[in-house]
Amino acid sequence: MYSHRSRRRNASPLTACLGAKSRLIAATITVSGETPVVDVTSTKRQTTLSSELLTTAPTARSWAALTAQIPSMTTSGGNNQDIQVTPQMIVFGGAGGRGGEGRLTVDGITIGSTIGGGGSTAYILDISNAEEVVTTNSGGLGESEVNGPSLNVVPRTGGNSFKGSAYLSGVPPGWVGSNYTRCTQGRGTPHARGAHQAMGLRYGVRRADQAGVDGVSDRAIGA
Amino acid sequence: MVTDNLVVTNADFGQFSVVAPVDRRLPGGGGYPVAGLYDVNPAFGGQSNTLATFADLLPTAPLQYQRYNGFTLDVSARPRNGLLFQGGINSGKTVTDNCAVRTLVPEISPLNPYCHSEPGFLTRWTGLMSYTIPRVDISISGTIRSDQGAALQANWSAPLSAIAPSLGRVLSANQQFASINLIAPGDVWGDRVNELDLRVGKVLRFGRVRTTVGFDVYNVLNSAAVLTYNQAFVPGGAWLAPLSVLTPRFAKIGVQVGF
Repeated sequence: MYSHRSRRRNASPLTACLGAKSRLIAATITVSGETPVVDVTSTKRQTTLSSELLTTAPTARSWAALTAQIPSMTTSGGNNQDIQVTPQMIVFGGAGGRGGEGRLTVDGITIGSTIGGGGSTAYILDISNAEEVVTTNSGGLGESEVNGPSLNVVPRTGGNSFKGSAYLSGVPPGWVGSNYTRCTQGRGTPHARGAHQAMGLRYGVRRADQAGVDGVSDRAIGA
Repeated sequence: MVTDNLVVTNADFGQFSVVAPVDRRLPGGGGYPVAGLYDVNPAFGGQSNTLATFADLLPTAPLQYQRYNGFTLDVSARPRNGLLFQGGINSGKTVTDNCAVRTLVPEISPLNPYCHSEPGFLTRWTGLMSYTIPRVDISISGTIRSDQGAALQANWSAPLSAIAPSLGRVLSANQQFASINLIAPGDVWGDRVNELDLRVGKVLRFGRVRTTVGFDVYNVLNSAAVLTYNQAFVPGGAWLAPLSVLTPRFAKIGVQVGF
């Protein structure tokens, strides 16, 4: 049987001379640049209102009052444009879109009516205790039924601690002016615009990592 | 979406026009024709078998559109510690047209001839500012907004005597009047609503408890912008009389306690 060992034993030594000459090797490498397929632009436009701002701004501390502060949001004309003495519901939309397509969400979950059924909600959120409120003006994706506008209230989250707040406000009778001027009278305004005397109490107690108890008691006296 | 009454076709409608009453409050003093109005043939008055469908599924697939051209500029800035500004402007115009659909299906709005609406640019701007004075913990804030007023109408109850000469018959269902808007959208606007609100607040801290006492003044300019109007037009009557105006200037005190 032919084996590896016998083959090695019978092999004769081989001597080979190899000559190597060094030579400069030149190579051309072409590096071409191409813009990566990364979309760095977006039509999504968002505005964030921090909790600090929500508590310091002179508004009725309601989501509806905030919509008046976003330039691209529209509310149907008329009484919707009045000052919100107490939190009220309004129907809002975006400039150029349908008037009632604005969506209200809490931490991304829609709490409003169906589109065409109002769009917003009469639920009064305690936005002064929110972490922030994010308004999406346009370019939203699947997080909402519309690409804009939507108003998302982001509640506070955090550790194992109790948080609470109470807010009390009031408008004494003598602190209300009158704009029933001669000019207004001349335009045929049928009666003097009565004073709004408003009182409101809101409270909220919660453990930071759990749902809490919220309450709102607002009322306007007069008309 | 279009609600098509399958009982009738556009051939079952009579077309007419009215002449707006002479009134100096109307554009050009009135006396102009308002054309493109429809009334269903009395033989079909009150009959309906409606189908809600898409416009492009109708015969000839008539075009209807709503186009918006505009811009929004939002600025959010914190130029220094404790100072915050947020605001912007939005301006744009919306053009809507459903004339082709209305010609095919007049029942969608027989008495509204303004199927092509181009009211022009509407501009709205808002601003919001907040500044907390360091060390004393006093915050000063304010909001300002300027809203376009609403597009107004002149809804005239046109009597049969103003309609019959053009229509050549009486109105269907024995109606004696037809409510017709005499002005196109965007011809007459309500007051622009300008509002300035201010607030001063003081933060008091007692251990874990944070108390904020705030004093707010709303409608600082005491604007009396009219919000709603009487839009029923009667020649020489109370058309555009204000029904409600902006709430007058008032002050509010508020306390927030948080822990």
